[in-house]
Amino acid sequence: MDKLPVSFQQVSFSYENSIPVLDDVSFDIHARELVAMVGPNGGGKTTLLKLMTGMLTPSSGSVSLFGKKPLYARPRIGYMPQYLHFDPDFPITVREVVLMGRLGRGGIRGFLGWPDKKDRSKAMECLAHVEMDTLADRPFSDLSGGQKQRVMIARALACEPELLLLDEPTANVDSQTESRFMALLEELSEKITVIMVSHDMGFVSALVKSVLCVNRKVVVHPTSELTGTAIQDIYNCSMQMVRHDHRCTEKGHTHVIPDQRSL
Amino acid sequence: MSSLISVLFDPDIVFLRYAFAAGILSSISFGVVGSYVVARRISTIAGAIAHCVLGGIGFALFMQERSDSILWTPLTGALMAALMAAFIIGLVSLRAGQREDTVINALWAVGMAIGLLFMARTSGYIDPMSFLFGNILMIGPADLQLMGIMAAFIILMVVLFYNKLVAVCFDEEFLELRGVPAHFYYFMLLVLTALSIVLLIRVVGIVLVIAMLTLPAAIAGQLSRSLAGMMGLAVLFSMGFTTGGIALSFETDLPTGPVIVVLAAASYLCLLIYRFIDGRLNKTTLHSK
Repeated sequence: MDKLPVSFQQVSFSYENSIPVLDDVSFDIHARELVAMVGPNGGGKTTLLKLMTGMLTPSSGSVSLFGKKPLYARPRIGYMPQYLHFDPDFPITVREVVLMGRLGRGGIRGFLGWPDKKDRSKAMECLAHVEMDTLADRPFSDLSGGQKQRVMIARALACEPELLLLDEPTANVDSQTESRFMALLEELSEKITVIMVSHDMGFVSALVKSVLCVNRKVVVHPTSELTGTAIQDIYNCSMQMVRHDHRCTEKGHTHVIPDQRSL
Repeated sequence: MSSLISVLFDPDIVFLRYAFAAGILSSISFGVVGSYVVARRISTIAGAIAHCVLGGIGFALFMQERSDSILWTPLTGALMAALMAAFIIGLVSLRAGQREDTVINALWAVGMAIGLLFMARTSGYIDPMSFLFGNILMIGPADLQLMGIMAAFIILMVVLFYNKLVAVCFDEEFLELRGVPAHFYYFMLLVLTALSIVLLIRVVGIVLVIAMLTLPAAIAGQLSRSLAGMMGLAVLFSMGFTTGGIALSFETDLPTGPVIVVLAAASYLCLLIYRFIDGRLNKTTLHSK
């Protein structure tokens, strides 16, 4: 039986002697789920993601991925960093960016980092998955924000991950691309676990199965249970209720019936 | 020009042929390593390494006078200082975070200061100018051999680890997450930079080396879509600048290093102006439609 993809046990974390960013956090994420992470700025979303990848180690408590320490689970993770992180003028083609996802394999070829036929076909397959295969030989710097974002997803997919971590994948993306994008993530979550940081509290797609509310504490809610009081608990203040059943499509403004599947 | 050709093929005058050969050989490192320096945006780090080299040269001259060991030559001193500086600066840039620029600039000045102090305590006349601005016309066959070996080593490393070095320049964090020791490749990049700097100081000197590591690569970067293409173009540009610079300096009786650098900078400027005008024209044609 599969081990839990992500399990946090009483995890606390603080950056060098300052107030804790995360305080006594425990939660599990089950296999083949699509999870969104929401919370205010500085609430610890990125820290949580970095704890999962092992880039940070908890001050106390334990993080395990697939029953192992994050460092040893790295080959099973696909990670997509925030889009801002890149030099916009870097001379590199789309294909080369995606092939980066194939680095870190064993053997002489893996050590030297030269891709073989399988790596190349896998990279194209991943580009096709995000509908970017026709632009494979374009310079990365020529792409629009949304296209860059999709290339980054393709790179994360090229790692053949069992756990996909996405840091704000829908920032800089128009709403039409966003809904296509969420459909892609849902499709992926039939096979692997997908955790994404959502850029604002207002947006959680109806396709998301559960929500991690992060603000020093972490509370997991199935989307259908996300009520006003739950949000109030985590923000410690009264807030406007967010409608998660509200989507815009190409056809215009529609309201869909709230998703009740997870009940 | 006819005098240049006649001197070039005069069997008794070798210095000019050596100078051209040195220019061509060093262009390989200028273009290849320069592309990484420009793409990774570590030209300040490269500048600091170059200036620390003066410390090593000063120390080697100082030791040369006091020990019989043949180990101490300006070249070995430069090599040691460059590698040491690369290592220290690498650690600083990985650990210091916000204060990175302060520390790197301090090292830059301290390296030079140490070199001048050692030179002051070495008897006899030493002209720091030849180290600061280079003298390609002083190059001998031994220098050329060494340049050849170093250029071959740099090319070998870059060809073998091309993809990983590109990845470390583009997104170090991601590489680390793939289980590849990204910091190791970052240091490899700095060591390659340090080696090229030592190699190149003979050609254009400490002060001007940064111009040659950045200008040809910057020009190439405007015209290419991948790092490999950028490297190839940068090597060609660099060969053009060194060869043209040597010829021009011979004809005009001006110091070679500065002529090479000014030639490269003028070309970069021309390209930028062309791009600017080209962009403007495209915009106006779009608007008129």
